[in-house]
Amino acid sequence: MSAARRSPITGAFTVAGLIFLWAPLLLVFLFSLHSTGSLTFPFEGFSTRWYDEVFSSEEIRSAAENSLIVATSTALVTLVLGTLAAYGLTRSTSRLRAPLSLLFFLPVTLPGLFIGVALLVSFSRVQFSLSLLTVTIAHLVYVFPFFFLVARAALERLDPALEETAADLGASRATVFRRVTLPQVWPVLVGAACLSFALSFDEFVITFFVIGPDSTLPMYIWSSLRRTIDPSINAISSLLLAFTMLLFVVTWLLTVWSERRRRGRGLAEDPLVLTGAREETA
Amino acid sequence: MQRTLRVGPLVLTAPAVAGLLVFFIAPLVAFGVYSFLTGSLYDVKAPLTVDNYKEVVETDGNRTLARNSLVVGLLAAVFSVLIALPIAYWLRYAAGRWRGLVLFLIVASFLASYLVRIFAWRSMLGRNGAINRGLESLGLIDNPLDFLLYNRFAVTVALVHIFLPYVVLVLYAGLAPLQPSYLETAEDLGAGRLQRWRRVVLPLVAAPAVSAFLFVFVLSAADYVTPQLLGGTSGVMLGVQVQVAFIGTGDFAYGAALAFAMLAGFLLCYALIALGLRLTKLDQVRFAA
Amino acid sequence: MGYEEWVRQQESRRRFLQRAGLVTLTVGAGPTLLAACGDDDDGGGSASTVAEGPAKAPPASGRVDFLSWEGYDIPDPLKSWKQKNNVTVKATYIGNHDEIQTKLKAGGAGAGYDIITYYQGYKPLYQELDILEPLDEQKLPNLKNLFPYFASKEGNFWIDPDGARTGVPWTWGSIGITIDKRRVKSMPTSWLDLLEPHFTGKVAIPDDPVGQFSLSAHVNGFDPSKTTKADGEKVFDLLSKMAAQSTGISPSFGDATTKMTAGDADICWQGWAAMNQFAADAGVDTFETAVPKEGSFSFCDAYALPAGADNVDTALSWMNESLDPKVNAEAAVVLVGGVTVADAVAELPKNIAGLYSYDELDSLLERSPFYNNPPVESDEFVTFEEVQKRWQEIKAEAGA
Repeated sequence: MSAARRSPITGAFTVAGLIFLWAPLLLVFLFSLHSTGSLTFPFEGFSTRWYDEVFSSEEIRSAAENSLIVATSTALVTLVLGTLAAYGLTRSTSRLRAPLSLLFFLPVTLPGLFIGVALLVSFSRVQFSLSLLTVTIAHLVYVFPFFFLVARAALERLDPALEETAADLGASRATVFRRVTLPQVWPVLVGAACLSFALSFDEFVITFFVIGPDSTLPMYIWSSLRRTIDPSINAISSLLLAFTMLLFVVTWLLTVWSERRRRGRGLAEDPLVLTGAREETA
Repeated sequence: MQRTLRVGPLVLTAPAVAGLLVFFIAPLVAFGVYSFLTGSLYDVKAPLTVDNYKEVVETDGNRTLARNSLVVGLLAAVFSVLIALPIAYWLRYAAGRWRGLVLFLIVASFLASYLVRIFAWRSMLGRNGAINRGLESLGLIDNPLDFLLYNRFAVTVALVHIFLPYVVLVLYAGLAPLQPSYLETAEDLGAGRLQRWRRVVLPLVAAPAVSAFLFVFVLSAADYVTPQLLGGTSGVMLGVQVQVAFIGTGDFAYGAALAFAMLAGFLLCYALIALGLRLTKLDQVRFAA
Repeated sequence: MGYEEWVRQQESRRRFLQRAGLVTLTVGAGPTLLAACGDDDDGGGSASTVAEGPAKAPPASGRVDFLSWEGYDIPDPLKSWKQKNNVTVKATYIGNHDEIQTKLKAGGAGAGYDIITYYQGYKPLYQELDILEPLDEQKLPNLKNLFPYFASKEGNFWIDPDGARTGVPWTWGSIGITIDKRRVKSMPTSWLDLLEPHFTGKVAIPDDPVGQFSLSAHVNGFDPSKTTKADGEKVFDLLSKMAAQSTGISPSFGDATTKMTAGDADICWQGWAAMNQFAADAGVDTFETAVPKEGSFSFCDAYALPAGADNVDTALSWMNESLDPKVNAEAAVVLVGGVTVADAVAELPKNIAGLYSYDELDSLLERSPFYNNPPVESDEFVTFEEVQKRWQEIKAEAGA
């Protein structure tokens, strides 16, 4: 761990940045406990009524369920397809690698608006009904580049000698992948899958266009903005934030624990290492 | 024994490729074709035409919107990068024990709901919002500030709020190869702070900074939610028009033409920036770890 | 063949028979087939073929997919009906009337919605888009409860010239000026008062192109469905001026209400009495809505059956239930609106009954008429599409 340099200016920026990032979020949390339905000051008093409303609302529960279904499906399918794609790409020397990489990266370059509308147009043209399935498909397209980039970076970092040795010793490609590659990268992949889950759970911009009668949580929030908004939205958001934060902490702890178990790898506890950035040598 | 794996492993990419071709490339192509058809009440008709593009260019309103989108996109991108850079630097070199916690806080804020955080800015910037109330209670102002909300400023602030964590992470990753010892060496060799930044740090982060800049610019300029909730009358942006064309007016062909015109604009920016990087040779900066 | 294709065949057959002047078939046989296929959307029902015997509401059951404004699914007034019949409602809320036709067109056949509503002016457009199914009056016995005006063919809003019924009107209201009494001490007497300097930057405007056009046309003395292109310029001009007075066009009535309760707007152009209730729900009970001297336009929303609905009988039962005097009255209370059922007036609390003078319905509707939408196509008059496009331009230029 390198010694920290003193840098008051950048330190000040960091403090300011953190305040900037968290002030609105803390405000959201504050008003989720508001005793009245207002979302502006003056602050009248504390109450948990909005949380009660959220937990007793059939509509919110159903929307949350749908979001869960879509996000889980998205994360799982992306995990499988993305890992396969990243592995296939990094273990190949074909000239198709560059164009394929570009293809996989492309959805990120387009705003969700385009992806959403293009899919809407296509689904309607072939008369494919809008539903949670179309939402999942749209999320897969949106989330794929993120997963792919992380997975590819992780797979590229691996020492090829290990795999080559295993192959030379007679292991089939599948076995090499299963027993040499996977044990090294699975934490990163799981982390990336969690990222995919989080991205899908909160996705609104594309979902807006391809959603059918079944609502997701962000769509529910949007449609609540149609009526006078009340702090139940804040309650939902605070709960969601807590949930996703917890998910990430658990994933990170899991990763760190699994890495510690495997001898011979001294990974620093830098969460960024999970994303495949260069290792920090102490 | 060297074993070069040939096209074999590439087969593994097939499902992903198929999926993207069917659900991404094909829809975009169809969408592109729509822009050349004739729009009619929530559908499109056969005659091929460039009228839609003509209409896009000739509609006065679009000029204003394009300008707004451009300005907001640029400002959001510029401020995101300018604010993220010092933070990334601090995280990389000056954080010490705090690095983990601060990184966590930054990533965590990234996870907050997109819609709710946009709406939260109303509670911050409105007439009865946190900032006005705070300033009033400190006695700094008598009447609430009106210019904070329902304009381009509010939209830009909210967009920076959304993208800042992402840019911080990208720049932080970009600084990863630059060991603190190199900075110390530079300092020992007499390079002042400004020089260290200009000749060591900046060239390294140039490429990731530019890609983050582009990312924020494009996504901000095309955003259609923030302007509706925070933009007021002066913060209306082009993305809303595309949404409206599909949900409101029902002129799909026009909406498609508008979307592709926007896309052309973005591609132009990408190309310009890529060219700029190539010319200044910044895309070739590498750092031996 | 797939179920969707089967439904389409049934629909075209039914339409043919209708035009031939014969009776309206129901798709009652459909749900039975569905049940055989193991679907859980079971509407039960009979396949009556002759208009015989007294009208009777069909049995209701299963899940109903609703698409319209929030509040229009009247969850509380329908509570006992839902419990008695074991019906669950899956609601999709819109922020803009045009989302209805977009979702129905884009969703493909069997988009999955069983019941929608439409503002009276939208009927011609929806018929042209072919998204409305005719309603079997044999299954809507409560139609007899309607006020003569709403039961009539006047205006063709709910009944076609050939007698086919497309809508069940159940709620209505008149647009008015909505103010927040905390900051606006007295109710303005004219729409044009909103152009005064002290309202600059404080006017809330919901994003409803057709409504905006209708209101502005009315204030200028024109019928929005018959405004010549030349007169249209005056209409759009007033809208531009009003937009320049605003804090920004709100994506919905709810949003306009929120701006007002938060203190960022004081008064609403194209306000709605229901906003009083929205604000009260948020803890602010200082809203007031009134119709100024020029009058305004009235809106009447009717339940309708979208093309591709599969739980038809339950949808019809819902519509029938909405015309029950008690339910109709309760809905009016919840939405702070008007009742379409004569006997419901007696069930209304005083403040709601006082909103509209039911014994002078005709003169009220003269001041604030039910208008048709601008035409889909016309060389002489401003068209629906033109309204949409000019409205977008007005929004874009408002801050310039």
